Amino acid sequence: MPASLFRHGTQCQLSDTQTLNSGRVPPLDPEVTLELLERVRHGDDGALEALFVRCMPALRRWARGRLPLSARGMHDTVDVVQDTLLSALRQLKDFDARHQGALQAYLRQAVMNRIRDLVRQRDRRPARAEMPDALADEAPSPLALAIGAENQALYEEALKRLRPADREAIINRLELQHSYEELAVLLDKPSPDAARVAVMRAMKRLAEEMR
Amino acid sequence: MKASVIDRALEGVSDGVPVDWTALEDNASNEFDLECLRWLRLLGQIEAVHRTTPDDVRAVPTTTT
Repeated sequence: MPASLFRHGTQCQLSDTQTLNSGRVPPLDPEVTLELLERVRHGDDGALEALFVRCMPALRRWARGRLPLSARGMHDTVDVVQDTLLSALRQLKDFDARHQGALQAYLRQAVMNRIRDLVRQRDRRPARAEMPDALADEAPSPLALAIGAENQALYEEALKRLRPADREAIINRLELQHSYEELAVLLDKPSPDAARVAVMRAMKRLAEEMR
Repeated sequence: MKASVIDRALEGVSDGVPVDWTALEDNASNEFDLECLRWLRLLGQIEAVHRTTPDDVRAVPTTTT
């Protein structure tokens, strides 16, 4: 029985939380991804749900590295990721996804934009009653702590200048931590080895962009 | 054929395994490689943060209707 997520607007209702909590969900073949995206564009909630269940675990893990330290374990943080995913998946009209890896990278950017919006709101408003607790905390994210805000911005800017295929390879491997076996499917590569080569080439181009 | 310092760095970061950055830097033959290593090291830090940050799965809401 699939999880039922979409009965009350953007509020997620899960009847099968193990699906999302298990961490690793097998990636979708490119053909299946394209078919589901097409169905989502025609308002098929079942297809939306199928994509959500595939994309959510990796992005939820990803958000742990990008949100303030106090975000860990807080429902608010997961709500931010879930609601952003649902909203982004419903607005895919102009998105040209060739495979699930491209979709994951697109959704990662949507979550990042949402986090930035919330942080900006936090900075503008002294009263934080409506702010998720995790975002009201001004402690830096694990990533900002590790590399600093300046390097983080440099990385993001260089990432934007890459070809989409290179950007997707880096995001799906380094940030979303997909295995090479998963990447082969996600990026539509003939083998895990080919996926590994694609990641390394993309990293080399990124390092050259950052110079 | 011996892998270049850049190739060794790329493999280490991509595979998520420890990289001896000091040794690679010591073996870099020019400024270009040194600067590339600097940025690859940064990518390695980004990869490590995402690999080691725990996933708190209990935070998924479970409300049912």
